[in-house]
Amino acid sequence: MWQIARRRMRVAGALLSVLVASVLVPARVLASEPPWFLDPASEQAALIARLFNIELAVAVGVAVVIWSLILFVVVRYRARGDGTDQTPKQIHGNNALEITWTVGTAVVLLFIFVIFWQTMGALAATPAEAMEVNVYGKQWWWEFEYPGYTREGSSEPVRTGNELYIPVGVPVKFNLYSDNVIHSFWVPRLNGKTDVIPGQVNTTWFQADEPGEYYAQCAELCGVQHAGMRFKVYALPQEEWEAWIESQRKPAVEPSTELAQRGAQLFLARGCAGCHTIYGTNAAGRVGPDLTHFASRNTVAAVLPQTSSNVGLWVQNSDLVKPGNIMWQTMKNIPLSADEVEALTAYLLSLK
Amino acid sequence: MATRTEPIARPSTLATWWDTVVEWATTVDHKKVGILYILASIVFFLFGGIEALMIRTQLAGPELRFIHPQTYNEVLTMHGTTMVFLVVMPILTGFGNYFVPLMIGARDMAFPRLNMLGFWLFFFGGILLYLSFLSGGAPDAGWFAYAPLTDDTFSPTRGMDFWILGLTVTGIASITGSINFVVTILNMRAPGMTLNRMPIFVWTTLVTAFLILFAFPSLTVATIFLFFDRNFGTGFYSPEMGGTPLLWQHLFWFFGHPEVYIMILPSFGLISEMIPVFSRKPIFGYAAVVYATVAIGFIGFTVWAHHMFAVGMPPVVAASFGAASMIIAVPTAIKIFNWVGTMWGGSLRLRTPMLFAISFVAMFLIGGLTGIFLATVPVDWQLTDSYFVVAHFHYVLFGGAFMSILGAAYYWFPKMTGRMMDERLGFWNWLLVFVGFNLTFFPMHILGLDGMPRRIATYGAGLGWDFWNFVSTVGAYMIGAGMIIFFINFFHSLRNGPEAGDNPWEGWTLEWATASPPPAHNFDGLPPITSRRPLWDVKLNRVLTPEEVKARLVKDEHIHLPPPSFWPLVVGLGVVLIAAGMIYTYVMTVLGVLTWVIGVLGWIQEKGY
Amino acid sequence: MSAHTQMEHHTTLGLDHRKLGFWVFLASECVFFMSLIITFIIYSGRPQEGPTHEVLNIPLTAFNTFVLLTSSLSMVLAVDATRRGDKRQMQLWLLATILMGSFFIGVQIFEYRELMHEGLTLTSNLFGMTFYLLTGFHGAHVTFGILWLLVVFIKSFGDTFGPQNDVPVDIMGLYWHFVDLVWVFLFPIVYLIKW
Repeated sequence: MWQIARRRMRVAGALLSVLVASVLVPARVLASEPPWFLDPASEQAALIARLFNIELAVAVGVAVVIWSLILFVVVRYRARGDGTDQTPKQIHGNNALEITWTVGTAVVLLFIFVIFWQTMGALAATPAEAMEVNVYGKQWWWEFEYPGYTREGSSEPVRTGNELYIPVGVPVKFNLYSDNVIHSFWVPRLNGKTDVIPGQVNTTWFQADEPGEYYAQCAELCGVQHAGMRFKVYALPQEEWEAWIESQRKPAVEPSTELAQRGAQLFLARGCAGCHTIYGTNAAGRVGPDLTHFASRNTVAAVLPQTSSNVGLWVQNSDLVKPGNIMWQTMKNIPLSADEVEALTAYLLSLK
Repeated sequence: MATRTEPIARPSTLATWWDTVVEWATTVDHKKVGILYILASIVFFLFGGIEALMIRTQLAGPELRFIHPQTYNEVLTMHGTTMVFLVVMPILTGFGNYFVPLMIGARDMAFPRLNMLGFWLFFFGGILLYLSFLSGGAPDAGWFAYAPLTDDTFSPTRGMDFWILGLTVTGIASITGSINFVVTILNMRAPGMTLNRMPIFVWTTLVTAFLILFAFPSLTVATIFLFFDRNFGTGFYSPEMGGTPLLWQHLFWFFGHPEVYIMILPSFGLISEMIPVFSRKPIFGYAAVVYATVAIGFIGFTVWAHHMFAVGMPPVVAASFGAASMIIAVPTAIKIFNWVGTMWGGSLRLRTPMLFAISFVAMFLIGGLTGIFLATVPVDWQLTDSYFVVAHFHYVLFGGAFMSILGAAYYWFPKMTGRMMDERLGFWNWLLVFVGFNLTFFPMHILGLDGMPRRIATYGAGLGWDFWNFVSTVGAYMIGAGMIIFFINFFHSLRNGPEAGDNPWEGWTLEWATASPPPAHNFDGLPPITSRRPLWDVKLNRVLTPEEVKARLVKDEHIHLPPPSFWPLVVGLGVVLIAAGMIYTYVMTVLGVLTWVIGVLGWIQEKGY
Repeated sequence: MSAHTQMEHHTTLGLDHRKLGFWVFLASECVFFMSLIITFIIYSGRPQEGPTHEVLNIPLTAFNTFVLLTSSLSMVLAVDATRRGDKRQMQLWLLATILMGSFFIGVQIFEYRELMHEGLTLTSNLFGMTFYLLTGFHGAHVTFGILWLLVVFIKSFGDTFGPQNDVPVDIMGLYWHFVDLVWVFLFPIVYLIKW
């Protein structure tokens, strides 16, 4: 009896969460410029866009010619009546014509190849003076690590999640790491893809020429939440970026309100610290994103705007936001009361 | 001639129904085997199509929750796997089975029982793959199944094992089928049917058979490694043991790229049959079309790494693979020009098969052109794994292969059933599929340029993706409606279509030189083959008609046909039990080995091939 | 065989269907072994822990190679005897081939046991997994060949094979030579060369 009742309750709970999901989950907007790669914001992306546009011109030209031919043929040579009484001239081929279009095709391709080769050359080398950022593809979020910038009073580098801040006008080299499956690092308006492959370190680089926000997301199927593995690049003017990195180097601010202080205790007591780091506290887990300056971010889990209700929703039931996510594997066993969620939310949002 | 065999017997009692089942299950007649391939592919097409509609429904708007992302991954994996291995390949094999022997004037395939074994293996392999849905989860890592997402850590359900074993079983079917095609085509041509006179479809089937023979073993090795990694603790794809996930990609794409040509070359063949007949002109530049086919087959084995430009390979290597890929555009362009050249100056009858054939040329052209974008490495870095790629290969495989299959269905339906399909329904079928196809897949180019990665279960609003995704979904349902019309037409015409006669389209290849449907022994008398168009010669009174040939035949010539055999079924059952046992319980494997041994012993005791 | 008995005499290429088909099949098998061999070459040279090339018993395998190659000779003699219609010789040489093939497999099993004793297992390292899969699939091919030979041998007691019907023995021979030929590549690649 007891078993059945429990099962029923679980089913009811599942149904309820679906209902809640469809009504309560706010529109997960990441208001952004479309990541249209033909609107490049870097030298690299501009070179690729140029090659693409040349190819597009050729392709449209070829398509228009062939389609016109097809259309002409269909209109001009359409059989009258049922057609079986007509016998057109039986032509088996024409060597001169066939050689012409074979050579013609080859010439067009050679033209494209030359520009393609030049573009390859122009894109090849990473500048030696480039700033380095280590990128870790996780299931299903991005960690960015600044090896040149350590936390104050520590040798640990600055780490952030899902938001990549870079200075404008500085080449940035990315070292791509994965300890799980293959991901692909792609910021369409800044450069093409480079796969993030376990067992090898790929590198790529770009230099943002204008300040802005650039939408990006993982481009290689990497599991359940592949679609939720989004991130954003914030290209800031040099001084702003330096101010940002300075703020990131600092330890977490002490919670000032009573509620937030309770949240800080809960963070350590309820196991959050096992996975998350908040520098300056005892929380030093390395499984999930670093939350030292969580409140300086714009999103929750890269998909929700950072509001207190969204933070609460994520803490309480992340499976509604990103079904199948890995944090939920642990959190589903840690029931949190409403005021605990409130306290944790207050704490997280105090981490400027 | 024109002695139409009686319409397909309608079973009236259980006994006759059972007789029909036994007849079809033990047949070794290449025509019946062909029909079985086609019917089974149609069933799998329904599955693959429903999966496609699920994908499009989920993506109709931003942040929809129609299906769980895990289900989405399973559905997209099964959609791709189904369409490639269980629809396009086997339906083309089905057409090949039915028509290659007819087109070369043979009585059957070289190995009739092996032929039937191929069908059973394909069919059972497909069923095994689909059993995964009932056994704890379908494969969920995409149709190219990149390691290490597929290993037992990241894919803990048995789904990937079903995928591996299902594809291995259908893979054996492809290998046996290809051996059969090669021997049949090389060794069983009627007198006068020189290589230089073979219909283009026969040529493309021959080249495809070789591609299968040389490409599939690479997939088999890749999946064996994966199976060992998942089940026996090896680490072929595991960096922890010093291996590399890239090994999978190389082995897979060494198979996977030729696989694309395995699906498209027979389609080239199909429309190279239809366009000339409906233009009433011979194919323009026969030799060039054949050479181009062979060239594509060869170069197809040198370009696999163009699927891997983003894995961090040296620029020179990448550029070489890019250049090789661009070279393929030359033979492909030759074909397109030749098809247009065939229509030029002809007398075009725009019947349904021709509508599909012309659409093929126009749509495949886009797929070919976008292929050039993807061959140029830097552009590929932007476009690979984006929706642009999804658009590209659907223009090749749907706009190309699938259009040609629909055209061939209308073209050959009269030969296979003795009845014509309805032209009016055919037109609406074509119109809805053509418009729906473009609505579905053209916007995907734009989505790709707008940075939408493929295989995402949902997407955020405000990125410019909402509208085009919605259009795409509308298009997908339009294709669905078009296909419903196809099936209405199909079943309606099967019973009520007008009688077709031997040669309703005035075709000139040998399949039209016999009754519709052809008798079990295929031909009463073959016209002499002195050119590429035997029946055209008959029409111009250059050679004897089939009737005249038949009249002159010595009357007492006996035609022996191979007797039906149920050993292919037993052997096939044995193989699939062996495979299924590796997932369920080894008892099944032992049973499978026993069944297989009994089957093989029975097989070799029986006379015949 | 009915309809085909006549057709055999006038196939387009003048080749027996089964023989042509089998050649095509062997071509496909080449790619299978090529994929395994290339993986072995790439992987056995990668840095790794655990026993690798140095634990292989080269003299033993060299002798085994000799036995397997000799079995190809006896297979040739069996096919030749079939064509001459010498049933006794055919059976004798078939039996010799079966015995030498079985000896080869026996030594391979012994070798595997020794190697596992040395710590080289399927899961020990890259060398282990590629070594066992490559030589193991070859061994499986030899084993299948032995079973096939047994069937041919048993069938040969009836008056099945002779100059009129030598193709089944001929094809068996093709298979056996192919498997030997693969070993001719495997022996230096796996045992003699350190990648």
